[in-house]
Amino acid sequence: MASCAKWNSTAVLDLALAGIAASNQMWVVAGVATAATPTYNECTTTSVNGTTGALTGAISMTIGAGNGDYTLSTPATTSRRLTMTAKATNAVTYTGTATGIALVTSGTTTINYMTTCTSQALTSGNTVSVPSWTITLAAAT
Amino acid sequence: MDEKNEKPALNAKGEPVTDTVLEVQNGFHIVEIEFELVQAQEVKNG
Repeated sequence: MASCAKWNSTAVLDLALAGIAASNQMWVVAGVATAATPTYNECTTTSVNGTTGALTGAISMTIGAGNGDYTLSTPATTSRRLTMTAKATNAVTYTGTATGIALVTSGTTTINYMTTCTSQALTSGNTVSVPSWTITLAAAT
Repeated sequence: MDEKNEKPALNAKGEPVTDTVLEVQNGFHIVEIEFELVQAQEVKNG
């Protein structure tokens, strides 16, 4: 007797990625990515001691997959990938060590997505560039 | 333009402004489905 396979509709994955693509701001942050549950204020408030908080101002993102800063693709048959466009030469507003990137919707209190970055020391007055990066929701297993 | 008056922009440490390119770790998530079927057993009264 043939067995059933686990399977998911890519439309379901797109719903989750659309929630992330609703983020109109990206922030470069220090110390927050290792927190159990990062908070909106931690990610969007200027660092007070260089160890926790925002090291840049809000980096503007055009919301909606396919609207310029977010692109949807299908890396495998039943998986979906959201690609965030690169954002170059953003002003560093506070000296600290960048360890994370947060995607948020301004005016809310929720972080839509957060990831880590290789620890990098940033100095106020310099600039920081965020290369293109991706979030992939893979097929059900 | 008088080149002697051109000064590079400085950061908070008084050093020339530089750009740092971050290395961002991509997110990868697998949708896991796991559950166990429980087969109901009919209880017959004696």
